[in-house]
Order: sequence, then structure tokens, then C-alpha cells
Amino acid sequence: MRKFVVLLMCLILPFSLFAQGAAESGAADAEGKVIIFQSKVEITEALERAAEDFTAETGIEVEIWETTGDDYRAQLSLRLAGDEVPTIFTVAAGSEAEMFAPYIAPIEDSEVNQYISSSLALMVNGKSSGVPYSVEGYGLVINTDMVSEADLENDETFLAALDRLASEGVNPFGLSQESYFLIGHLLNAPFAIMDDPEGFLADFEAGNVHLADQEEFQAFALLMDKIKEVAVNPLEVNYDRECGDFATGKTAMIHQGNWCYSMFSSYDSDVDMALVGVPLLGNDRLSVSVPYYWVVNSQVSEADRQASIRFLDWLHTSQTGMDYILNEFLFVPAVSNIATDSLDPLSADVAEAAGSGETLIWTTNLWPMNIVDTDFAPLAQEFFTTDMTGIEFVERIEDAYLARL
Amino acid sequence: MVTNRKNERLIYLVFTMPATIAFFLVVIMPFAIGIGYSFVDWDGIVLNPMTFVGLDNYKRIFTDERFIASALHTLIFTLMAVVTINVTGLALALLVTSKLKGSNMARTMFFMPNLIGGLILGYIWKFILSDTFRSIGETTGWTGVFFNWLLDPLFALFSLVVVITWQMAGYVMIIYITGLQSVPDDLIEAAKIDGAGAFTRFFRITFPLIMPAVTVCIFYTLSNCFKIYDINLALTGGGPANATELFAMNIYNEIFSYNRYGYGQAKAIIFFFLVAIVTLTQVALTKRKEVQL
Repeated sequence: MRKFVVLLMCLILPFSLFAQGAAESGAADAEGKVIIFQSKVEITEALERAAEDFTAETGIEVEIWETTGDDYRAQLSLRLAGDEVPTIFTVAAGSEAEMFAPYIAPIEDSEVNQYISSSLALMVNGKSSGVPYSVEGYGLVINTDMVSEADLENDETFLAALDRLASEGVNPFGLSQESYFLIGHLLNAPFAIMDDPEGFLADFEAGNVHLADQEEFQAFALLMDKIKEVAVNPLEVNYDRECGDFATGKTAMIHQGNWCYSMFSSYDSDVDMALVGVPLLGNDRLSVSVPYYWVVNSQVSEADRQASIRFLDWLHTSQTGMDYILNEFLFVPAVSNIATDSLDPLSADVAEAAGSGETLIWTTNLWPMNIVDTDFAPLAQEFFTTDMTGIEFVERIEDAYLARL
Repeated sequence: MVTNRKNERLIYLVFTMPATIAFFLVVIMPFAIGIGYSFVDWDGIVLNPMTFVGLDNYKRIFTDERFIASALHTLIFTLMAVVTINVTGLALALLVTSKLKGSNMARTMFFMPNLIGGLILGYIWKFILSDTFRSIGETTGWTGVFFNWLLDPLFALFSLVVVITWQMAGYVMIIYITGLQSVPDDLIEAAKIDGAGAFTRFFRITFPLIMPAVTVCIFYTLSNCFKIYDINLALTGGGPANATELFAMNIYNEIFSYNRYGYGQAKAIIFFFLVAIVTLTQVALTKRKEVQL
């Protein structure tokens, strides 16, 4: 008898563990529950406070899951396959949104939808499906005491300026070792300054044109050659040092975006700066777009979906919510009902460019997914550590791109 | 009698049940499911279609240059690392078992790196091997040795070997110490009286007698080096230009960056058999060298 009891206990013990786990997650609310999964660590704390305010106002429970930007996509596909799934998550437009399309619900019945301009809307299956996070822009952050407008006139003056700055003992052009800061963002320039970037990409993917034959890419190759020749090897530099060297005047310009202003302000930098376009073929436009969209999971209960939409509405249209976006997240708002004054200098440049409409698109989102990490960054490492020429680099980029189709 | 033995078996079964269930759920089942996934073409998103492609994933592996390069790097890395870890570990074990002062202290210190996680270790050494080495080179002029190791394809691989040796030598040292302590003193003394030098005593008597420890240590280091991921990720991230992308990282990238779930899974299965074959062969070989007193 005693043996039997022992046996029974051994059998029951492991299962009771599972049973407890199931019981805990079983408490579903009739009002719905919001689970947010997002990757921007800079806003996590503020978002948690916003969620508490939302819960206090509406009684709807909000849970926030986070991860770092690096493995967000991998984490997301795992989390979406789990038992408890996020009801709100974020995607980038383009190939990423396409991949997750079955999980993305339309948000046309939301209040915030009317404030999303058609050029910034995320369309999935022909329906507006995402709330833009913020507007971000990147280009050259220049130290206006060292770099003049005449330097940015055209390719010759720009390359000459790099030589001059190098001879003055400053690092003329800063990049850093992280994949997007090393090559991803910079490579957007030659693609995006085309007259019709999307048409060009389609032509290129069909094999009708070659990158190395385009003057945009030839100019880009010359720029890369010059960077390798006169600038500090970007593989020796990380993001912190890149921003730090600029803030302390050791670097004349870096290829970055408005997000790095928080770095400069923590340095108390007195450098006069501006965000300008990469002057390839005389370009003066910034690359401006929306990095991510909030989307609502289509595979959750109707109550959860409604609760999630209500949260997004609250965040983007209520006074408290808008306050968080502007003053706590420090976003350049991408919805038209939030006013934009009191922005930092770089964000102001971005907001101005976005307002004027004279911007470059982000072709990075149209490239095969993750190609910057998997192929372009290793290629750039090879470029900066061997005697590969700029034009060879462009050819290798073409090969890597076409191999991914 | 017969019923008694039956009862005994039942009792064994009952007592191993929790472990068996856990092992089945977290090892056997995922492995079986993994084999299933290796026959499909799928991007890892549950709602996206999964197409059965038969053995195509496996065929593709043999023409995948990046995977073959990665296999080669893993092989070179593992060979170098197994040798350096075990030689260093054994040397440290001999050092701390000799009757030197402070050998207990030394034992603790040599073991310490093993207590630090691979990711943190990787970041610490990344700083040493890139920034610190470069600065030393610039100030002393010895740029032949002191340059940024992580930017040179070959030296980046050496860096991995250095770091993993630093991490694991202390651990195998502990195993070698137990081996050394089980060598009877009278044998050593007898050899001494017979006129055997320190060298002969070590290679003719001590080494054959610690062969069981050698088997264990080589097995442990071999399988660990093959599977290394954390140090690889933190120290080199696979760079420069994929020159240090080892097996595990290649598979991770295939699945989570290229989103080729099925193909990555096929690689993982091949990887499993490779590691299994190599380590089992090694155990069989070194076991044969073990001697009984």
C-alpha cells in the first residue's frame, strides 16, 4: 500500500506543476487585457508608467514585455507561437510587415487612424494597419564650426573637405562598428537618391541594371574609398565612442540620426551641430521615415483586440498619452494631432524636413529582410580590413543582394 | 523471486520517472520535432505556410560555401582549443599539486574565470584584445603582436582560443587534480629509486594512470568547443567578414536572421551527428589507453 502511495505521488508531482501554471494564466478578463511587446529600451520605463496611468483610468490591465532591438524579430516569432501572445507588437514597414502579415489586424476602426497621413500609413492587405511610432531621420551630423555649406556643395568639394579635415588632425568622417551604423544607413543614400527608388529596386532585382554602372553608386564608391583612406577605421569604433568623439570635437561629422542627440546632451556638448543629407551627387535631403509601427495582433480575442486599440487611441489622442510621447519618449510625433515644438536641434531638422516633404525614403526596409546584418555588415568588415576598392565593394553588395532573392 | 525482481524494476522506474519525463519532454521530443522540421521549407512564423521539400535541405548543405567555411573554422578552433585547454589545465594541476606555497590560493584563482559567464567574458576580452592591445602597440611600438586582434581573420580565431582557454582551463584543472591525487605515491617513489627522472616519471607513470581524467576532460572540452556560442557572439560576433562564424552561430543566423527555419534545422541535425561521432570516437580511442592498476 505504501509503495502504491509513493508511486502515485511521484506520478502526480510533475503534473501538479503543469496544472498550477495553467491555472495562473487562465484568468481571462471580460474587458480584455493588453500585452505589449516592444524593443525600444529607451522608452520602456516611460511606457510602463504610461501603462499604469492607462490602467488607473480605464481598469484595463496592461503588461509590457521587452527585449533589445538586436533579437526582437527572432523573439517575436517565438512569442507569437506561444500560448500567451502579445496583443500589441511592433514591426518595420516593408519585408518585415509582409512576413508578419497574418498576425496584423487592421486598425481602421480606431480613433487615431484619422491622424495618420496616407504617406506614413502601414498598409497590409490594402487596409491601414499600424500606428507610426515616431519620425526618425538620418544623414550627416556635422559640426558646423568645421564643416561649411560650401563643403557640402558636391562630391568634389565634399571629398576635398574630408582631406582638409584629416590634415587638420580631426577624424573627418565617423562611422561605427554596429551593422546599421557601419553600412546599413549609409548605403541607403545611393539607393534613395535615385529619381524613382522603388522602380530602380524593381529593375535591379529583375537583373536589368547593375549597381556599379550607376553614377549614384560610383559616387558612393569614391566616398567609401575616401573614408577608408582618411578616416579612423570604423571597426575600431563603437556607437558610444562615435558619438562621444563628435560631442568632444574630435570628429567633424558622423553618419547618424536624430536619436543620438540624447548622447550629446549627456556629454553637455557645446558643439554647434546640424543634420544634413549625404552630399552624393549634390544631394541635400535627409533619409526620413518611420522606424516601427505599433500593430495589433489579429489572432487574439475580440475583447483583447478592442482593449489594445483603446490603448493605442489613449496613447495618441488623450492629453496624458500625448504628453508621454512628446516629453517622456522624446519622439518626433508621426501623427498629425500632436504639436511639435520644443524639439532638440537634430529632431527639429528632421521635423522640418518631414514637414517640407523633401526627404529620401528608407530603402533599407525594402531590401531582403536582415540583409544588413547577415551580408552587408560582414562585407563592410571585409572592405575596411582588406584592400578591396569601393567599386568592388559595390559589386559584392550586388552579388549578396541578388543571392538573397 | 520473480515477482520481487519485477517489483524492484517498478520501483526503479518510479524513482526515475520525474527525470525521465523531464528528459523526454525537453530533449527527446524537441529533437524528434526538429528532425521533422528539417524536411520543410518554412520561415518560422506559425501562420505562414510550411512546404514539404524532402531531403532538399540536406542536399543544399553540401553546396553552402558559408556553412562549409564555418565548419572549417569550427574544426580549426576546436582542435587548437582542445589542445591549449588541456595542456594548460594539466600544467596548472601539476603546479597546484606540487608542494608550493599558496597553491590552494592559486587553485581558487585559476578556477575563478570559469565562474564568469561567457558573454561577460567575451565583452571583457573584446576590450582587451582590441582597444588595449592597440594602445599598447601604439605606445611601445611592438605592433607585430599588439594590434587589434579582432580585425584580423586568423587572429580573431586565435582570440577565441585564448578566451576559451582562459575560461575552461581552470575547470579541467580540477578534474586533473583528482586524477593526480589518485596516483599512488609508492609507485612514484619506486620509480624514483629505480632512477627515473621527473620527465620519465610523468610520461611513463603519472600520465597513463590519469588517463581516465584525460578521457573525461577531452570529451568535455571537445563537445563544449564544438558547441561554443556565447563567447563567439560577445567577442567577435562572427567577424571580421564571417571569419569566426562558428557552427552554432551559423545555425542561429540561418534560422533567426535569414528566417530559413527548415534549412537551419537540417544543419543542426547534421551538426548533432558530427559532434556525436567525433566525441564518441574520441572516448573510444582514449578509453583504450586507460590502464588498470
